[in-house]
Amino acid sequence: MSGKTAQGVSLEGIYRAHYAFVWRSLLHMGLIGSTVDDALQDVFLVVHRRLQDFEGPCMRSWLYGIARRVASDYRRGAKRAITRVSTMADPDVHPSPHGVGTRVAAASMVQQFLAELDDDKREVFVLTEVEGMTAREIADMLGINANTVSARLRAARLKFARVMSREAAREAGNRRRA
Amino acid sequence: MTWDSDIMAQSALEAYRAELDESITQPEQNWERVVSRVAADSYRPPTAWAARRRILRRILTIGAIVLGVLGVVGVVGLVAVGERAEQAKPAFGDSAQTIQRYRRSQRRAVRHRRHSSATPYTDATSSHE
Repeated sequence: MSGKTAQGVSLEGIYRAHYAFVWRSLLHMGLIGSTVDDALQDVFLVVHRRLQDFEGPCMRSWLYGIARRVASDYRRGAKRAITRVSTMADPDVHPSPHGVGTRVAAASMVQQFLAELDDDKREVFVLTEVEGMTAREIADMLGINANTVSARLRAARLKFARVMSREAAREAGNRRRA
Repeated sequence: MTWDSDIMAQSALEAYRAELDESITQPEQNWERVVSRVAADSYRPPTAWAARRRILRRILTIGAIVLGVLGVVGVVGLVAVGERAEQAKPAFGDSAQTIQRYRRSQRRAVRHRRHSSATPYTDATSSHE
């Protein structure tokens, strides 16, 4: 394993630093179960092959591009019609941030929201809200205009706010009744 | 978004991030498998010679196609020129062979005209009436 980038970063270094990011990205690209493990290994195999070619300033962008292609191959190859983001268990309950043990329910609400979102808006929303990337970084990474990223993000956030308002109103009603 | 729903959105996103991070499993096992797959990987990046060979093969293929098309066009053109030359009226001083070829083509043309303008058989008695 002698492969290193021009900056002298080894495959293991990249793996340790970006394992979680690649994992989350593959999940958000619609892969499920053990497919994520296989795809993740494929991503790092491609990284090993192309390590010498990496010159860009942002390792995450490069990894995300590879993960996108690998996930696309997996979806096409396996002919799986995965349209929902399925990352966790899906308990059918309404969450409350005040309750005990409601984290899973709150997370599943976000998951459900993401599943109903368009692919392009979901990608931008996740990269911003989960990965903490800026609009400029996302634009460079996806090869689209920064204004497009902002527009998609605005639309996704608006929808998210509507979902949250609805949940807050439901929660307030439940408290009044109790 | 109201203050309540804003707080709720933030906490929901935090919960989602936390759940997502908890769903990440087996980094060590995956690393071991990556290492073994890298070791078994027979992939070699294409060398300069391989790239040159590929380009040469492509040039040869395109060249063969172009030559084939030119050959077909050339043969068709030569046949057309030959036919036209046969039908051209010989000039003074042309060889006996050229004159003979011209006459032969003329006879052929007359035969062809006669054959193509032949009227179908009609009953003579019925036409009189």
